[in-house]
Formats: sequence, structure tokens, C-alpha cells
Amino acid sequence: MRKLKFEYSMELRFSSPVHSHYFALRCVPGDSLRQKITLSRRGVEPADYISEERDGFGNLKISGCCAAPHDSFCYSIEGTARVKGMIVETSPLHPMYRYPSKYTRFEPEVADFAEKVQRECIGRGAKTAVEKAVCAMNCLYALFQYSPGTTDIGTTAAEALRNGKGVCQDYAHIMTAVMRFMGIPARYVNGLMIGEGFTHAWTEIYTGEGWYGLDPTNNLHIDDYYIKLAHGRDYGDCTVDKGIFRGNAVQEQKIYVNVEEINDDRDSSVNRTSGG
Amino acid sequence: MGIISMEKVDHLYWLGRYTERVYTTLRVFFHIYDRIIEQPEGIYGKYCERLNIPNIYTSNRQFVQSYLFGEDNPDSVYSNMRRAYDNAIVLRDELSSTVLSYVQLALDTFASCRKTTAPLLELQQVIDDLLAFWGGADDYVEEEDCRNILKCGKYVERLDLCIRLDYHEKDLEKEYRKLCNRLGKTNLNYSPQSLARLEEIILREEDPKSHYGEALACLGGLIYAG
Amino acid sequence: MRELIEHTEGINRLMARYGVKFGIYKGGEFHEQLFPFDAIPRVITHEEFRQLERGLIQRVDALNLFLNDIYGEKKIIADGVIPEEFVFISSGYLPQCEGIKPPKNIYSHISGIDLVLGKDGEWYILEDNLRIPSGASYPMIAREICRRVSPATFGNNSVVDNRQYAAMLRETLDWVNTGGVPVIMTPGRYNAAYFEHSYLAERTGSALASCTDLFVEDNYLYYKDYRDRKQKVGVIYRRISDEYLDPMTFLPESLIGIPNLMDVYRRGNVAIVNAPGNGVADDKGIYYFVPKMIRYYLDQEPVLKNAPTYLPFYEEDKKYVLDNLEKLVIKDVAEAGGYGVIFGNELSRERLQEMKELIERESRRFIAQEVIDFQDMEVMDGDEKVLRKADLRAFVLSGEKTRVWPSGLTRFSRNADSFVVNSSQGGGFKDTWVLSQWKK
Repeated sequence: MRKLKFEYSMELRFSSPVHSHYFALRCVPGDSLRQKITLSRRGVEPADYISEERDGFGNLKISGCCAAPHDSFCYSIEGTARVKGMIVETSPLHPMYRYPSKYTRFEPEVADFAEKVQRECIGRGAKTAVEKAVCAMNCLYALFQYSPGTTDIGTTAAEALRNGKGVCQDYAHIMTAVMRFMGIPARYVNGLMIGEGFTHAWTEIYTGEGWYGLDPTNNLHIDDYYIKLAHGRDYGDCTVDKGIFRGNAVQEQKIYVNVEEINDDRDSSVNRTSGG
Repeated sequence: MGIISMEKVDHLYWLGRYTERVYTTLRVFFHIYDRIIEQPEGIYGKYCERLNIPNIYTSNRQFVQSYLFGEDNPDSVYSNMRRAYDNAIVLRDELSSTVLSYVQLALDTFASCRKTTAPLLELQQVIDDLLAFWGGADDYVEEEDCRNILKCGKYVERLDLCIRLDYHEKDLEKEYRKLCNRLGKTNLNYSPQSLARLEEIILREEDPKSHYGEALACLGGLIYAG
Repeated sequence: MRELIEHTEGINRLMARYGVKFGIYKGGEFHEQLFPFDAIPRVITHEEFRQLERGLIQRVDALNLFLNDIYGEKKIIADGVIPEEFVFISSGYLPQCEGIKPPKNIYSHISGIDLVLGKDGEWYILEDNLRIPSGASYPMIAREICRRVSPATFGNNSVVDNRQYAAMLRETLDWVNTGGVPVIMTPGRYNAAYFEHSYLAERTGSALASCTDLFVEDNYLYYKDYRDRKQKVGVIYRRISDEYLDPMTFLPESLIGIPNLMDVYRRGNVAIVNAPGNGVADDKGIYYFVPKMIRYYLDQEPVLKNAPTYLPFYEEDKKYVLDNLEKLVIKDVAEAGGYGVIFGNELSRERLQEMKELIERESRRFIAQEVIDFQDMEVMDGDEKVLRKADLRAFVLSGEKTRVWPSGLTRFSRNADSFVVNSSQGGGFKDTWVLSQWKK
């Protein structure tokens, strides 16, 4: 069990004022068996109203609107999280996590990769869902190259595999797709990781009793250095921030994420780089 | 339910304008058609100039066909009828099917008599339909606000055409007063300056005709209905 | 009746006057077509209608219970009645609707159930339409005009009046209204069913709204006035499909739709008619299971039959389908509106083989049905009576009670040899008479 201090902010600047700006944000971590959250700040500006709701996947969602013209939009979240690492979060399984989704379709690339993983599993004698998942993660980590800018937010698991490189979103999609293809339910997760950087994405697999997280981008188990924001079948279900507005403007986005460990009152921090 | 969206206001206003444009230009056309019998080729030139539409016509005969029925001629009466229909069709719930049907009938009449050798024989029906449309609007359009916005469009167009076609000053005054009456009853956003100047030109200027250009500009910028 | 037929042309002329049309896209361009009306009605006797009514109410009640179950407890899956893949792979299943309780627990307020009458005298259900079934406006206005043209016909036959559809619809909307005005939301006049949207708005006294007239503020939905006044909306009868409803929840690139509408709905502050997510229940694959649903939820035997249907998903069925493909109708579950329907007997030997391979490979994607030998109907072709295939879309409204509209849309095919009666593929329509028990 660790205590983490987190800070997450996003700022959008528009080249000319926009109006009728609607947003839906999944940027606030929620309480669960593995993390208990105390928020010290939750700011969204400008906003005519803010409403908080659980979405169909169980995530916290903040939505609202700013009708008047504005040339910037920002939100910032700060707080502390008490996190337990490497645990199975017991929960019943929703069947949708068994089946392919928009980003995780069972295309030939996914099937081919799954075959490779299956062979590796047999070689290593991996039997349980977690053992197989770790095996898949190791294969993916070895095969796939981390390379920002070569994929985008629309890239599917199969496309990423064809491309051979990508970012955390692609790692998580491939992992999710391959797990489902192998008959292990899996879901896509957005969250924060120790250090300074960006938001992160990983995969949770269903063990039979509950959910267990793995980070294929870093080849790590989800320990107590990770804070979860939201999950879904894939990226499309749990986008951290969505917005639409009227106006003809170029937008510039700045994101700041910082997660550090706090030891009771002393403020010593552990530094590990987070991959995005 | 007493609530009219921005979009509907826009359609009501333009429905008023286009039905009026078709009605008045068609009636004027009846006179032109009559005069063509004795007059030489090309008398439509002056008419085009007055309405400020490009003179794309090559003969009296071609003028009659293209100005009345030209599908690709944006200034044809038929094109204006289609615009009236485009605005009406999205207003069924405000106008009622009964009132809307007269716009449909007028449009269908136009479409079906394109090939006729005696256009005025058939187009009388369009004038009848449009008159029925206005009568029906008075009778069946329940929302008073809707009727007023529709009529604002109508009188703006009427005044515009009266000025362009050089109607008698008394007519201008009459139409101006009708417009004011309706405008005061709506909550339409309009420019008081434009209205004041318009009134000045029509009612008080010594030589109103020399200010007609300005009057038309005032009229064009009077209502912000899109 | 003869009088009515004699005046067919005049009736169609009146329909043109009222703009009774539907739109189609041809070569990327929008065209409006008159919907040809044939004056010979489909006649359903009182007793026959009673039977249909019982079967349709039962079916729609079961479908509504199914939708409540799927977006809630999912007992029908836990109990092994429906294999879960048929539910969760369906593109109509929307996880975004999980946990939402629609007002009064009604998902399908307006259901359009398509049936055909077999030569054996039995009605068969062809498909359920629980999303935005259209077509009720056509027989409504046709009846209005026919009564005007030939009062004697209606004087001599005791036909149940069908013009109360608007009142029934309004009652259905009022029943789920959360406190506000009713609106009918249309994607615009270039929609195939625009006539119906505007006609139903007029007849139900609802405001016809496009998405730009509506907006969300502080968890309520409002209709915006030109003077910047706003009025709360309590029920929205939307005629756009789920994926365009709310760009913040569904297709983000959608330009139509109302941002954050789903939040208002989730809080119970507006009723959406029909509820989003209904596609999971009218999926061509789920159709097979509707009789099972009726037994499961209502503990009743289905009154109305499905067309005999096979799911290649089940090995036994797959074998039958592959062995008998040339006499079956194959339907691609992902397609709608008469598309994706393949008649085995029309396929060349090569295409038949290709189809078999496709079914082997993607067995979940298809269903196969026996061709129902359905009764032809008489249609006037000039002065001559000819025979055409026809179906019936029955409208079932679920409000305080589930009710069947005593009429329906009878559509017939354009060509003698065509089985496809969808209006987007040509063809026309008839009035549907339900006879009253009081004979004249």
C-alpha cells in the first residue's frame, strides 16, 4: 500500500474564440478496491454548469457546457490516492469484455499474434489467465516498438500490429484484443503512472474472480504506482476528455501530469518515467 | 405551445417574402405579357434593370419561357416558387397541412405547365393558390406570432417590389404602414434606425425617388432573420 | 368499394396535394417520390384482428421485458435461454445504456412489427422494428381522403376508424413525459420519412424540432425560442438513429445530435422515444429467440409464429442450411431495409458455393429462413387487377397499456415476381381495414 500525490491538468487554447462548447471528462479517479481517492481540487473552467455522473461502464464522468465565447478551456485535478498493488479486484464479469470491439476486432494480424502467444504459453507451461496474460505481455513488449507519432487515436489493434510500433494506447489495444481472442476477457484502462508526463493506458484481464492489471508498454504488473481513471471495451468508451464546440479555431493542448509518492508527512518521491 | 425556434422564424419570414415575390411578380408579368403584343423585342430589359436581376434573355419569347419557368434560372418565378416551398415544407406543424397544401399546389401547377403554349391560362391557378394560402394562413395558423412574422416577410417584400417597380407614393405609404403594424406585434430583432430612415424617405422626403437606393438598403437590413 | 377504386387517380391527386411522399437517394442526390396508393384495401376481420392483437401485445411486452433485462440484470442469459454472443456482438447493443432505467421502464414505445399472411391462412412474423419504425402516417391520411371520396364505401362496411393514431401516439408520449413539452425531432427534410415527421408533429400537437433547436443545460433538455426563452422538454420522439443522438456519447464526428443528451436521459429528466439501445432486440439474429422470450418472461405460448428460421450458429442448423441453401432466404443480420436479403434459388452455382463458404466462416452473421408462400393481394394496374406480394406492418404502442393500432401499413411489391415490399425499393401501399364486430 502506497500513498500517492497526483496532479493532472489540461489546458486548451483556441486561436479565436469558440462557443457552445460541450465537454465530457473522465479525468477524475474513482474509489475502488485497489485505490481510495481524496480530492483536494477539481476545477473546470469556464463552465456554465458541471454535472457528475457514472457512465454505463461505471466510470466517473463530468460533463457540462460553456455557451459564451471563450478562448481557453482547462481542468485540473489534484489529490491523494492510497493504492494497493498487484491485486485482483473481485467483481462479476460483464460479458461485453469477451467480444471484439471497434478498436479490437479479430483481424488476421490479431489472430497471427495470438498464435505466437499461444505457442509461447505452451512452451512456458502458462495455464492460468494471469500466466497467459503475462506471457502475452512479454511477447508484445519484445515484438512491438515504442514510437510516438507513428499511430493516432483512431489506430486499431490490427493496424498497430501491422505498423509494428506505437504508443501506450496501441499496446493496450493489442493486449486487449489478443486476450479476448484467446478467450480471456479483457478491458482497456486509462490512468496515471508515477512520475511526470502524460496520461497512460494499460489492460486489465479477468482472472475468473476479478480484474488484474498489466502494463504492456512497460512490461510491468499494475502495482501501487498506478492510479486508474476509467475503463471500457477500448479507447472509444473511456476517452479522458471529449469536447465539441462551434467556431473556427486552431487548438493547442497542454497536459501536465505528476504523480509522486508521499511517505506519511515526509515528502520523498520515487522517480520512474511514465510512458504514454 | 407559444414557442418558436430561431430556425422557424427564419423560414416563416422567408416564406412570407417568397410567396409575395411570386405573387406580385406574376401579376406584373401579366401586364408585361400583354404589352409584348404591341411592343418591339427587348422590352424586358427595363424590367430586369428595375428588379436588379441580370438580363440574360435573348428574345421576348425566350424571356417568357426562361423568366417564368427556367429551372436553372435563379431569378425565374419558378425558382422563387421553389424557395417558397422549401421554406414552407419545414413548417407543417405551424402552418397545418391545409395551408401547406396551397404552396404545394402552386408549385405543382408551375411544374406541370412548363410546356404550355398559354402560360397565363395555367398560371392564374398559381395566383389563386397563393391567395388561398394567405387566406388559409389567417384562418388556420393558430400562433399569432407566426402569422405576424410571416406577414412581416410579406410586407418587406411587397415594399421592396413597390419601390423597385416605381409604384405610386400612396401605395408605398400604405404598404409601409402595414409593415410597421406587423413588426410592432412581433419580437423580431430589427433595426430602429433603418425603420426611422425608411419612414423619413417614404413619408417626408421632398423627392423620395432620389433616395430609393437608400430605402432599399434600409429595407434589406431591417430584420435580422437570417 | 368499386366507387373507391374508380377514384384511385383522384385519391392519389389529393395525396400529392398534401405532400404524401417519401425521399430516396439516387446517385447521391435526394429525390422525393409520391407513395403510390392502391385503393383495394387489405381487410382484416374482427376475429382475425383479435388474434393478431393478442399475439402482437404478447410479443412487444416480451421484447420490452427483454430490453429491461439486457440493460439490467441479464437473467435471460444467466438462465441460458439466449447465448450471450447474440446479444453482445449485436451492433444494436449499446453498453452506454447499461444501468439506465427509462421512464416507466418502457423501451419500445412504438413498435412496427412486419407480418405476412401465408397461403395456409396463418400470419407469420417477418421482423420486429423497435428503433424508429415509420409508415403509420400513410394509412392515416389515406383513410381521411378515402372517406371523403367515397362515404358510401364506409357506410356499407363497418371499418374501425384508424385516424385516432395521433391521439394514441400522444397518449403514449404523455405517459412517459417527465414534465415538459413533447417534441418530434427530425434529422431534416432530406430524410426519407420527413413527411411523416412533420405530419405526426402537426397531428399530435408536438413541436417539430431539428437538433439545433434543442440543447442541454444543467441536466435538462430545452427547446430554444427565437426570443431566447426556453422551454423544458419532457419527451423527445426522435426520428434519428441511436448513433447520431449524442455526439458526446456515440459517434463523436456526428454533426447532428444533441451533446450530453444521454446525461439528461440517465438522470430520468427526459424520456427518449424509442429508447436508445433497442437495436439489440430487433436484430435479425435475436428474432430467432423471440418465441423463447415469450415463454421465458410471460410463461405463455406464442400466439403468432415466426417464419421457420435457422441459425447457422448452431451446428445442427448450419448443416440444414448448407444442405438446403437453394430453397432458403438468407439474411445478413447487419443490413436493414430489404437489403442484404438473398434468395437461395436465385443464386448461380458459384455464388451458392461462395455463400456456403461465407456461412461456414461467419456463421453468426446470417440467419436462414424458409420461403413463406404468402398470399398475393389484388392491386389495380390501370383498369386491370393484378396480383402482387404484400406484407403488413402493424403498429403497437406501449404506454399505460400495450395497444395495437386497428390498421397498419400494407405495402406491395412493384413487380409481380418480387418478394421485396420495402418502400425504398419501389412499390406502393394500401389502406388496412380492421372490421368492427358490429356488422352493418
